[in-house]
Formats: sequence, structure tokens, C-alpha cells
Amino acid sequence: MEKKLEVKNLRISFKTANGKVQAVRNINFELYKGETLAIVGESGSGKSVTSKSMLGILAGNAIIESGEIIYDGRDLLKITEDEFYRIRGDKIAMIFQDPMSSLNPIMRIGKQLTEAMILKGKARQKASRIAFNDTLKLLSETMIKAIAEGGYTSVSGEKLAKTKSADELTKICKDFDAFEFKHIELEQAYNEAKESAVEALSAIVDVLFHIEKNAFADPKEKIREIVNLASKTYNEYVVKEDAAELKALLSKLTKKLSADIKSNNYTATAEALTSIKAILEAALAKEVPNFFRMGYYLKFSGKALPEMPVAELNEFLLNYLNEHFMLEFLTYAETALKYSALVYAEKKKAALAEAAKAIAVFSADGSLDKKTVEAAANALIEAVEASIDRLEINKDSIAYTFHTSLNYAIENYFNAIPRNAAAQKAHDKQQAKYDALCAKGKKPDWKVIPAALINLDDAKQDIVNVVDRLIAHYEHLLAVAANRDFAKETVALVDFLKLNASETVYKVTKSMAKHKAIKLMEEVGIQEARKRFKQYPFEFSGGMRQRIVIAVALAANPDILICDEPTTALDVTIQAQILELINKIKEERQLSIIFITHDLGVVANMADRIAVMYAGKIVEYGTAEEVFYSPAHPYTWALLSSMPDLDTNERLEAIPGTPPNMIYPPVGDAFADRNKYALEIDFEMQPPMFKITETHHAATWLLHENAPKVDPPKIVTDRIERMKNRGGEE
Amino acid sequence: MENKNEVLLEVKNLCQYFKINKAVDDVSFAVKKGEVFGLVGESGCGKTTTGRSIIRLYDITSGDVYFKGTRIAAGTKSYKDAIAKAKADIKQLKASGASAAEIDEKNKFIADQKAAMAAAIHDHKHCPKDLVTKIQMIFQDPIASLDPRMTVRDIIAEGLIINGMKDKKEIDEKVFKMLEMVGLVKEHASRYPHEFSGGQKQRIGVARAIIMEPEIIIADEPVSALDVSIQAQVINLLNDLRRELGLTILFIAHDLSVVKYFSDRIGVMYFGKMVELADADELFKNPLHPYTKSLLSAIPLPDPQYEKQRKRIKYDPLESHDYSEEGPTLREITPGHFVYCNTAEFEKYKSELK
Repeated sequence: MEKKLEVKNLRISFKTANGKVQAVRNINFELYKGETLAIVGESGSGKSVTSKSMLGILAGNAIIESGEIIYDGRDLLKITEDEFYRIRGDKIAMIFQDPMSSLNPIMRIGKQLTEAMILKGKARQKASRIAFNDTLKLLSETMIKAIAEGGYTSVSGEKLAKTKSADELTKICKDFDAFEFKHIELEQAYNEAKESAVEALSAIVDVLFHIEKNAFADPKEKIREIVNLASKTYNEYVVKEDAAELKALLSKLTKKLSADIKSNNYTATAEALTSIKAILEAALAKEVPNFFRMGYYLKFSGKALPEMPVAELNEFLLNYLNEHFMLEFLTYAETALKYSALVYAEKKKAALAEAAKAIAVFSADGSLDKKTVEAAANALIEAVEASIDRLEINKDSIAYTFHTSLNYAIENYFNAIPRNAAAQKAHDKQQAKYDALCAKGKKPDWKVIPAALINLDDAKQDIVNVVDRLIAHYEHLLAVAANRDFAKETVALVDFLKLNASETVYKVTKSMAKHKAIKLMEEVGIQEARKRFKQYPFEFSGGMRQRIVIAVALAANPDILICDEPTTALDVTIQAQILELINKIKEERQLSIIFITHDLGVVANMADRIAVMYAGKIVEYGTAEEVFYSPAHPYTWALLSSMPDLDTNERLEAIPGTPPNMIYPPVGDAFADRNKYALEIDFEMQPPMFKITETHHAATWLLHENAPKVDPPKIVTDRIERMKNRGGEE
Repeated sequence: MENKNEVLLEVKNLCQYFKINKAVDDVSFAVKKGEVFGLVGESGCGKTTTGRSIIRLYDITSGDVYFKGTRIAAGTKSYKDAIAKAKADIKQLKASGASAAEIDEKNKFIADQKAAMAAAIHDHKHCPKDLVTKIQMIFQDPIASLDPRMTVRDIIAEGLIINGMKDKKEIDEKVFKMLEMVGLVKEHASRYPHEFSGGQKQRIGVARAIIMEPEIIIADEPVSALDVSIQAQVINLLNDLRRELGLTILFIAHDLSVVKYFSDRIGVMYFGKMVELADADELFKNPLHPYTKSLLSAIPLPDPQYEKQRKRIKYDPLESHDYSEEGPTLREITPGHFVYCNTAEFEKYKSELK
């Protein structure tokens, strides 16, 4: 599966008057495409801090001590605010716990919903056009080089019989550009008509239902909408033969309605609607031609489409396209990819050699010399940058972020030296003052803050780690290079180009945005969306506001959605509705979701994988089934036993006490104080992550081979037993 | 808990309108001594309004609230409506030339209604204060419901002082006893609310309620603003207190798992109406009203496999009911199980249960 987001060794502290609060302590996780990762824990466990750091919206007193959050070949902890503008809300969206903090109180709801859609739509068009042009240009250049240097084989393995000149190759790529945009033009026209038909149909069904139930409210508005939608459905492959009939029906509809309103009897309207419904249903059942193939034919054959049934037409167009263009294009593209892979493999080897040299410099004993270190680093960065194969669609995150990570680590090291001195000085001064007061016999009512010193050896090790990781990664890449499936990668490349082309053409207009916004509002369960579209946030209740926020986040069509307790303030029916909506969108768009909550019921519904956090650390993670059916960490047990479900009768097991003070985090396991299963070693040493299965890990000494065998509390085992039985019945 | 069936609080035809918005519309139920009565429903369905109307935070529009047999709140709209209707009738009767006897009867009816209304107004105004202090409330948000500038002692003792207690020593003693009862210590009395965690704050809210030695507590979403681990602490505390003090609790919440765990009987509300009322186990075993079914089908459980199969039932009043011929009323299907339905549905539900 494709990794969307990686969090590595993340450590975040907050500077406060009493000292540094360690909110997040060394956490690691990945988020894959199309999965939901749930982060569970009490308030103050660092779950919200983690998610906020992904959006660069941590509070001002936060210090990111170490770590990386890698998204799309960039390290989100180190990019500038300008770059963040392109990511925040557009690629990574967040639903906040408190709806009022993310709505503008003096702007109408409708504007807030459509604003982002329109702005982001424009930005996306631009960005997609650039990505499309750059990739195609790079591809054509690589093709030319590959053919010029010769000796590269085609898809099936034989040598290329006929080679082409540079001009011919450039033309192939230009042709692709031209007909791809023709294809999208056709497809968009079709999609618009089809979507209108689908929506008109659902609106008609709704109105017919209300007429039947004698509860038809604001008829004029609804009928106007239907007429609007239905008149957009004329297209070659949607409403074609019946176009005249549909037009006639629509033109009479409003008149019939006004007569019906007067008599308060909607039979005539209902009849007309039923016949419109039949036309639309027939239109939607039609077969769809392949517009990609058709685009090429129309653009280059210079002839009109032959008259034949759709299935045959598809076959015909496929043959035409393959014969004249596609096979050739794919062959050359694949050749280019192979060539590029070989070239960059060599460059990777060169980078490895450079890395070995650099390691020697970085891991020298004693303190490092700034000049030599920087020289070595620059040479290495240059080699690594040169070794990135930019034709690869899946960006190699480690190589892409290498220079920021390395520079950051080096900077950290050299900044630490003066900073440590200053911190020590401040501390000494304070201590002296304290001692002086004590000597006078006064007991000061303040405490001496311990100096926050950065360990230089650790900082040095961080630099080496960055390089080590690159070496391991490159060695792995070189080892598996022989197994690469270039045919597959070529198809992926073409898909990438197609996607960017379609995004370039996709223009969000105001009326489209409004229509989409109203639909979204209805989807999140806001009644009378049309009316409420014009209202201000204060006119909505808390639950309604939360739904608006969810609609805003979904409107931007993000890549990653972070949900920070989105449904905690809502009641069950709406909660279920919204979770269903998020799940549906996730399926449709292959969205990756980070879901933060303390409600285990909701987690069970949403999560593919679960990470349980306590005191800034992940104490257990695994798939949803593993965490619920065989929890391993005492904290997970405690969470499971502290909330009732529908069959619970016994006394709940509350977790005694409160989470530890994170200014002075405990030496051992942070949960030891509240844990009745704590072993002696829990108070002395932090447990490492023990592996239970490939996907299930937990950090508790109970899993150590020498640990006594401990069973989870009865309330938990009982519940698991019940769940298993229930699973058996169904 | 001498008599299990003694009715402590009775709500009859309670209506609470805010201008045209019918927040609570004709709701009736009775809470028996020593039981926990759960009130569930989606936000905006009027469950909090019901709780607040009972302790007279709002002047109710119509209906009566009886506490220990005494009417403590009453509304006048029903009488006014009846009088207006009778007056209109008289006009009509006069126009159609009816006999004087008929008109007299109507006039007598109006006089009766007026007397009843006067009684209601009198009861509402002169509600015995010492009786009302036996009803106490715990609020949803522990942070917002505690005055940040008062110490814990002042917060807890405020009710006693308002009710005329002057002896400082006695007040302190009582406050300390309450603190102990809710799991805090004496030393906490001199601190301010911000020094406490969420769970501890809610404990202070509970202490403030029980110091008045109430017989019934109205707990309005007491745990929904709290963390999971703390929720369990507060639920356990309320459970203990209920056993020790023999408290009756009107428990308002939207988390059905908690309500099921905590309540003896449950009333389900939908848009200001009570749609189903039954024993907790009975309600979850045999939900009858389609809204209850929909509500129950939406509860998420901490069980991934079950969750993947769970199908939510949607509720649309238009689809589910046909009230074109006969409107619904609250009817008893089996002893103790009430459902809001009309005759046709009544028969259907009865056959469903068999």
C-alpha cells in the first residue's frame, strides 16, 4: 500500500512558566492511502498536539525537538508558511473539536462553504497544469536521450526495430497532450449531463414521495430545481432521442404546478414528473463509450464517428488508437522509464559513496568543526539531489526530504552549543538568587527551573542517523531494482498524466460550488439547507455548527482528513450519520483519515488501525480487531473497562488518579502509577515496543518473557467473550 | 425506599413553548421514589428543557408538575385555550339561537376553567420553597457551572447560606462531609475551581447538589463533557450516592450506553414529544416506536466486527407513520411500556410483541 504520511521520532514540548512540558515523546507511525488510523487516549495524552503539528498550527510556545512528518516528499515540520498554504485545508484538512473556533462569526455559512471550493479550485487548476506539463516534458526529454543512446529494449523484450528522431518523439508527446484534453472535454460534457440526470431523478423521487404523503412543502422551489437540472441533461449519450419530449414536458411543468397549487391537488404534476422520471431512467441505463479512445479518433482521424452500437464502437476505437498511437507511446514511455532507472541507479551508487565519506566526518570523536561538516554535507546533498529519479510517480520521501533533514540536524547541533551555554547561565543565575534568599532564611515561593540542556552527543547521533537512514534506503532500492515492473509503472505514469489533465480542466463555478455546498449540507443532516445557506454561524446550534465544519472540511476534497473528536458533541443518530458520511467519502475518494477520539465505540466503527496514546507515547498499536479482541497494554484494558456498553451490569473500573505531570515525566512506564498490574521494573525503566504479531505492538513489560502471566480484568475478558459470541451468531 | 411504587415526581401534559417553537409538547411521565429515570433523545428534542422546566428555571407554558403530591409548577395556556374555545362556542350558539340552558352550561364551564387557572397561578407563585430545595440539579459543563472566583467551600455552601444557615462551624462540617462523600478531601475546600481536573470539578458539582439533602437530582448530561476514564469515576460516584442516600435521579443524556447502564426506566423523546417509555431492559429488548429503533441502531459499540455489520435504521416520520386519519397519543402496549401511536399502530405493536 502507498504510504501517505509518515511520522518519525516526533518529540514536541511546550515551554511554560514552570518548565518544559513534554507533550509528545518520540512517536512513530505511518498512514496508508485509504485507511483510517484512530488515535485513542485521554485528554492531555498528546493526540491533538500530534495532529496539529501536521498542519503547522501548534501554539506559539511549542518546541519541536526532533522528528519528521513526511507528506508528498516534504517534511511538514520544516517547510515554510507559504508552502503550508498549499497544503493546509487543500491536501490535509482538519475537523476541529470546537466548531466555533473554525467558523468565521461574521460571514454567512454559504460563503464559508463555497469560498474554499472556488479558491482552491483555481489553485488546483494551475498546479495540475504545471505538473502535467513538467512531467510530459521530462518524459519526452528522457525518451529522446534513451533512444539517442540506444540499446534499450521494448515492452516485449526485443530490440526496438524502428527508432525515431528527437522531433518525432517530441511530437508523440505533444499529440498525447492534445487528444487528452479533447478526451476530457468530451467526458466532462457527458459527466455534467449524467450527474444532472442522477440528481434530477433523486429530486423527482423525493417530490413524488412527498406528494403521495400529502406533505409537499415549497413546491415552486423544488420544481424549479428539477426543471433546472433536467434541462442540463441533453447530451449525445444521455438524453438524446427523447430530448424533444423532455423539453415539452418541462415547459409545461411550471404551468401545471401553478394550477395544482391553486386546487391543492398535485395529480397533474405527479403525472408529468413520472413521465420525466421514465425518460431519465432510460437515459441513465444507456451504455457509455470510452471517451479517451474517442478523443484520439476525433482529434486525429479527421473523420466523424462511425454509426454503430456503443460496444462495437468501443472496440473499433480501441483498435484505431492502438494501431496509430497508444502502443507506440507506451513503448517509448517504458523505454524512457527503464533508461531513467538505470541512469539514476548509477547516481545513487555515487551518492552512497559520498554518504560513506560524510559519515566519517560526522561521526568523528569530539566536537565537530563547522566548516568541514558543512562542506561534507553540501557535497552529499548535491549527490543525493542528483540521484532522484523525477519520473517516478511515487515520490521517494527519504531522498526528497534529505536535504532539509540533514541541514536541520546539523543546524540543531551547532545551535545547541551557544544555546546550552545561555540556558546554563540563566539557570545558574536563578539558582544563585534562590540560594541567596535561602541563606537569608527566607523560603522563596518559586522554584528553580532546571536548565533545558540539549545533549550534544545525541544531536551528533541525529546527524549520523539521517545519513544512515538514507544509506539503508538506497541500498534497499538498489537491491530490489531488478524486480521493478516497468509496464505497470508506465500505466501509472499515464494515469497520473490523465488525472492532472482532468484537474486542469475541472473548473469550479460559483453556481456549481453553491449546488455542491447545499448538497453537502443536506448530506451532513442540515434540514432546509437552501434557507440556512444564507444564515450566520450564531444562528446554528452547537451540533449544527459542528456539521457545518465537517461540510467545510469535506468541501475542499482533501487528501488526508484529520478528525479531532468530530462527533463528541453530537447525539448518536447524527453521529452515526456523520460517521457514515465520512466512511462513504473515504471509500469514494480513497481518503486517508486520522481519527482522534476517546469513544471506543466510534473507533470500532471507523478504524482500520488503532494507536493508543498515553502521556505522549504510543503504548499500543495494531489493527482494530487486534486491539479490541486481544488488547495487551494495561492502559488499553483500563480504557475498555471504564466505559459501559449495552450489556454491562457490573461496576465500572475507573482508572484511579490522573495522568502524570509531563514537566517531570516518570522514569519508567508513565502509566505505572495508575496501573494495578505494574511490575517493579515499570517504575525504573521504560518498556520497549514488544511485537505481538506483525501488525500488533505494545509497550508493556508484561509482554517480556520473564514477566508473570497476567490476565486482563474480568470486565474486559467478559466483554471480549460476549463479542465473540455475538460474532458467532451473525 | 419503603414503598417502591411511591411516585415522587409527576409531570402532566407539560408544554414549554418558546414563542412558536414547541420545545416540549404535551409530555407526561412519573418518576418513582428511588429509581433512575433516563431521558434520551437527540439534541434539540427538548430533554434539557424538560429538566429545567421541572425545577422552575422556565415558567412553563401549560401542564403541571407535582412533587411529592404538591403542585410546584403550573402553566395556564391549556385553560386559556379552553376558555377561548368556549367563548367562541357561545357566540356560535347565540347565533344559531340555542337554548339558554346550553349557553349557561358553557358559561359555567368557563367559570370552572377560570377558577382552575387561578388555582394554578396561585400554586405556581406560592410554591413552597423548602420543598423545591429537595430538587437539585447537576449541570453538563463542570467548568461553566462553577464560579471561578469562589472557593470550593463557598460554592458548596452557597445553597445552605441562601436557605438561612448562619452557623459557620456547622456549614464547614457539612461541606467537609460532602467533600468526603464525593471522594475529595477537606483540604480541597479552600481551593478554587481551576485547580481541579474535569472529573474533580464534576464531583464539586455533585457535592453542591447533595448538600441540600435532595430527594431527587436532575442530572443534565453529567458525564458527556468528561474524559472516558473520568466518566467512569463520576458514574460510579453517582451510583454509590444513589445507594447510600436513596436518591432518585432524573438522568438526561444522549449517550445510550451510559443511560442503559444507569437507568431503571427510560423515556425517549423526539421533537418535544415523548415517543416511548419503558423499563430499560424492555426498551432495549423490544423497541417499538420506529424512532427508538433508529436510535438504538445508531449506538456504536466497541466491537469492530459488529460495527462493520451494523445497519443503521433511518427514521423519517413521513414514511413511518400515517396520521392523516387519526392522530397519535401515548398508549400503554404492555404494562409499563408506553408508545406514542394511533389505534392502527397500537394493534400492530401489540401483535409485534407476541
